[in-house]
Amino acid sequence: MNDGFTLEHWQKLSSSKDAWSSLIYTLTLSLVSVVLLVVLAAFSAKMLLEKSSKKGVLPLLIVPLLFAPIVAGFAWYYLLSPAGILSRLAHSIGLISGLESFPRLVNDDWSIGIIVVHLFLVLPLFTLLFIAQAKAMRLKEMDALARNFGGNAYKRFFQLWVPALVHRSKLLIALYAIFFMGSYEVPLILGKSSPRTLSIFITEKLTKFQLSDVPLGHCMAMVYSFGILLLLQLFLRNVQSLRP
Amino acid sequence: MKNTSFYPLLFIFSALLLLGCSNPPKTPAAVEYQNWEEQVSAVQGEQLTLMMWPGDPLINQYMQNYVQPEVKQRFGIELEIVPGQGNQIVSTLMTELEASKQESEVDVVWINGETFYQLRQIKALYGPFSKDLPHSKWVHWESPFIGTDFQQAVEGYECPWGNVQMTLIYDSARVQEVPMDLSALSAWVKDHPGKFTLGNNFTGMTLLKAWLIDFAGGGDALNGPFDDAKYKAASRLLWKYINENKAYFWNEGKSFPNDLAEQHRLFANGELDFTLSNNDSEVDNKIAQGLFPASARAYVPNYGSIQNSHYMGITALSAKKAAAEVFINFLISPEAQLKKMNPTVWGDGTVLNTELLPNEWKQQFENIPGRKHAPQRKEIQQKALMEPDPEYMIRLFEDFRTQVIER
Amino acid sequence: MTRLTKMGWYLFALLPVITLFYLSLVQSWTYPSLFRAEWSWQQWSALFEAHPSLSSALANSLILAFVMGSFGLLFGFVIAKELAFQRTKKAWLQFAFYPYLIAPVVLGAMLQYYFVLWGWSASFFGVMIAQALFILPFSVLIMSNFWTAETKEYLHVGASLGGSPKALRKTLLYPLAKPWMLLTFVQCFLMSWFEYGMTQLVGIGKVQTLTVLSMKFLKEANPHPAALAGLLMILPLALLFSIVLLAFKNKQQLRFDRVVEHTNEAPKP
Repeated sequence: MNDGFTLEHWQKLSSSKDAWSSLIYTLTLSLVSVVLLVVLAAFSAKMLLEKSSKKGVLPLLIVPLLFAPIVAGFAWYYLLSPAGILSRLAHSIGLISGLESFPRLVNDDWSIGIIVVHLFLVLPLFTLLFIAQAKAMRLKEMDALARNFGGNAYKRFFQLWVPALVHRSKLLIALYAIFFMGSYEVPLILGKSSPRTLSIFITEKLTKFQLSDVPLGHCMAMVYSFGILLLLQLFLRNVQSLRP
Repeated sequence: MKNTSFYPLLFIFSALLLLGCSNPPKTPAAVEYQNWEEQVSAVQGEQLTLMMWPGDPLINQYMQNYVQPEVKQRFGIELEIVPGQGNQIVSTLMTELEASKQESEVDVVWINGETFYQLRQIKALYGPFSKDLPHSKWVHWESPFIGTDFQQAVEGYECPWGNVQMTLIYDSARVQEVPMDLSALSAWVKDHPGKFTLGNNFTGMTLLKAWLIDFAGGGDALNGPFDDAKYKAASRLLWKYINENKAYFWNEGKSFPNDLAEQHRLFANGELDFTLSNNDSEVDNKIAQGLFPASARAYVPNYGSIQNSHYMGITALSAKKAAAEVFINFLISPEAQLKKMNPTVWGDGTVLNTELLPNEWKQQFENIPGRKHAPQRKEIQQKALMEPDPEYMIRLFEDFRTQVIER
Repeated sequence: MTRLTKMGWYLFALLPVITLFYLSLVQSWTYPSLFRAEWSWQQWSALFEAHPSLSSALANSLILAFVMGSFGLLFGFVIAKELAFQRTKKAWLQFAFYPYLIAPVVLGAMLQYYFVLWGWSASFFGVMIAQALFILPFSVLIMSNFWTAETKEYLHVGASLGGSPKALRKTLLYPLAKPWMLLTFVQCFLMSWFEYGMTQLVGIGKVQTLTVLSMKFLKEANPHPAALAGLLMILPLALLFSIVLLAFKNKQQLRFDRVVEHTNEAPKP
């Protein structure tokens, strides 16, 4: 089954629409998840930093840490799917007439389900982190100052809170972007058949019955690993240059 | 020092490059015994590993509550069951062969069709053995649905274990008149958008094979070795048909269930009005489990459905071939087959020719507590289609993605 | 707004748990029945009788996770300390990233060949090695956060004031490192607890952990035992966490937010 060294598989990979769409989809999905993650974590950190509001919520933030991705995917699937719990709730209070009129939140065009689960898994950690960082940077005091100078809430959030928090945890954010890129079980349960994430693409090629496709899977695995390596190299250099 | 960071990746890349550059090892030979009794007493106390698909609770219970204790008590065999199917079996055994392993971690595998074909190709199966088993004399070898596996002669490299026919399962409370042919199905989905789909998996492909045969002329049109011209002609019509109708499939045909379990769950929820089953009596046991509504029924459309058998194979590198043979011989005993056929246990069709059995067994097979909602075997037998060459399934899998999913 | 955020958090964090409990208690769950579904304890009561391997799987999981947690803690502590005083620290730390960055599924598929070749497949030891491949590097990543310039300075000052190495370790190093050691242990414990792909691949199903067993249910067609399996993975952890939290209540070293406070220094190159 081995024809020696050949570039054929690489050519096949580079001309495969399937491969390219997986690549682009994975990058977009990861990017969107991370942007939402940062904005929402910054927002809830800001809110929870108000007086005494942290109490009661902090222990709750531990709960998602106990979920394996597949269990989280399973539970959210049963919450969000057209025949799921939220749809039944909506039906029982007369909001919708049947499961056909419930909006599609899983296996959908916008990958809403996948993003929700990604956030569920990581948002609590980032909220805790941002709370701690905001305290360390005295962001609340700076926020008050900015208000005195007439900055509105929207501006203060996007020009003070978000950039300050992002700057301090750049590397961790990059790490989680990569974590989202490697996500497997969650898109398997909540995603569409096409496009699919790279890890699903690779495992399918490596394990499905078409043996001639196996090298294609290996090629993609190499592209993926190499891409991450490059990304990290770039990033590490960048972070280093930021430090005095 | 910067470059050191590339080492781990270099290691992994070299691992990738090395894959597929090794020679097949010699397989351990089976010990010869004077007779079967000697073999049975010799295997006392051996531990045997079976790799099988773990996706059905009733099948798992049959194995755990009946087979495991029985083989332990009768032959002293400790049976260990590990999960794995099709491609996982192939990749596990292939990796062992590539690594020139002396003894496999897996002794017996539950296979058919493509898996059998691929395992034969990489010489991962031991044989011939199955026709030498004592209970083999009652196996219905003459049946083309048992002695031939996806157009390949079994040749003693696997032993038939069960025989099933595909059915479509529907909810009779929601579907008044079932579509009996493809044009009726097309009309039905247009009237009931979002209620029908087929999975991008084995079972879905098995339905597609029946459709492909229908487009190729029906009946035995695709029997014999793979024929590229026939495939191209029939599949063009098949993809055209699906693409014309898929907008009315579940989720507007944008996505297809990954596995059968997912499709069953959608059916149980009420999202789908149809699901599929490779086992003609599954509808009964899924109702009994409380998963499917009591109004679920199963049928075979006029274009027919694939009937096939599933088999037990022994791995070439198994060090316990004698014990594996004793174990498999038990699986095809009238007793184990009878138990398995009971719809409340599993409902899997027997591979034995009951005409050949001693009278007391024959009667018991005839008096198995009946199927409740599943169709009778005799009724659907005449609509049974033979499995075409495995290449058809492989091509269908590939083209279903490029011709349907990605369009 | 703050109250709304709080409410949002309650729903977001608790809904999946409630869902799992609910699904494990209902049967014949056709749309649109919600509260009028058939309720039954059957899944719970059938749990132990149908699965004699459950307790051994739980034991396997606990042992594996404890071993990985402890090894991770030890390895991370020692290696990070060594690295802290190395000039080539940065290059070495980069090593630690890669096994963590490549998706475990992919890494496993790549390395399976070697595990079979070296006879490590289908054994507890093999699974431990496989897990260690990405858990140990990660432990170094976490522990190296502790070695800030500040920490080093403390130790330096302590030493110049005449503290013996033993006294320094006891009065300075360990108390300072405690929250980090705890975090490392917990992280490594969790990583091992949830690991499925590698454990399944290398263990060929013969090394049964709770996660591997639960996954079997999760792949079956029936969602009700699957929901129970999901809870099965969560409950022992929740129990463990609450015991630890209760035992260390009010003690400085368990202030999770304090630990996290330092993570802004995250894996520092």
